[in-house]
Amino acid sequence: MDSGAVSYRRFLDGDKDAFDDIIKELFHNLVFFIDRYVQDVHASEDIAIDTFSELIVHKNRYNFKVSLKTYLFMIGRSRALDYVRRRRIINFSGLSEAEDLEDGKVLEEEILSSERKRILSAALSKLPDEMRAAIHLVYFEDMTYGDAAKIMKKSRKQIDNLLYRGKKELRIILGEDGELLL
Amino acid sequence: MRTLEECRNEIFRIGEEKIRKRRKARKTAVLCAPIFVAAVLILGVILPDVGIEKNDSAAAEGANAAGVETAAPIVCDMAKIIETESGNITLKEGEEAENLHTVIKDICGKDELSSCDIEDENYRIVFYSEGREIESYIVSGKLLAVENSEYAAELNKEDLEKLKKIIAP
Repeated sequence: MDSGAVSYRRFLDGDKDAFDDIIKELFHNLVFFIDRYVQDVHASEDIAIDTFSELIVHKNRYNFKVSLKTYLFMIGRSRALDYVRRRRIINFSGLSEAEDLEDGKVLEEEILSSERKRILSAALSKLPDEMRAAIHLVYFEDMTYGDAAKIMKKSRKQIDNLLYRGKKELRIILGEDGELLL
Repeated sequence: MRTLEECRNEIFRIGEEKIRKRRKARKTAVLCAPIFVAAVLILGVILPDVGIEKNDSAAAEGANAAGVETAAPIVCDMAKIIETESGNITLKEGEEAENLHTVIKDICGKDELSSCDIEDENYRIVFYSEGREIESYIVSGKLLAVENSEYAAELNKEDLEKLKKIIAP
């Protein structure tokens, strides 16, 4: 059982502080992942909050067979896709772009400790959605191909293909310097 | 961006709101279930019966419109004239019971029958169809009464002549 699942077990047994541990461990990572789809930090934060609230509302839905991180990322991805679909229909009037960028940078600094990862992250934004999400899960969240496949509802082979093509694209975007980063 | 503490509070607030909504929805479902069952029963059991009756009458109307023969009206095939006073009363030769039946029905249908008491009975006319008594009338002076009812029609000159044509004293 991963640490998230252990904390959630404690929370289900009545330890409310255990939920804070889950939030500390996974919240920002989830926001960052959702932002790969949504491209709006504030909306991503709202979606992540909504995703976490599922742990409180449907307490028996998580079966402890996958890691809690995988479970939350699965819900987060589907909520993010719903949001993107809705956004295509309704035009949201959000915060100013500058403010959004500022908050995005703060989040990035919090999640991405190394310079190498920051450069990669910036380049990722130029890739298609699915490719971006697959690279994010494997390289930024250190997930296995199996977990990434579960979250993205794809087969391991498809994830493998997405990563292969993604890396190829990134090499083109980052040029010769990029070779060293990948 | 919100702090982790703010996010935590928001998660619990949204979570509790969702739980409240679910409880409310469940309560509504429990309350609405009997109403739903009653509605299903009404729609499934009571209304179809009414529908059958409606369909029957509609089918009969449809059959009439299409010229299909429905049950034939009862034809009177025998009339007994029972004399209560002196004299021998029968149907004239060549006349049929149905003719007398039609004439009497015409007389009754022409006037609005008024309530009356028959004191003196001249004679009784009983109509039969296939051996079964179907109607009976009492003639008393200038009154033609429907037996076993309080109604009678007044016979005018014309009516009396019509009767005389069929009935032979």
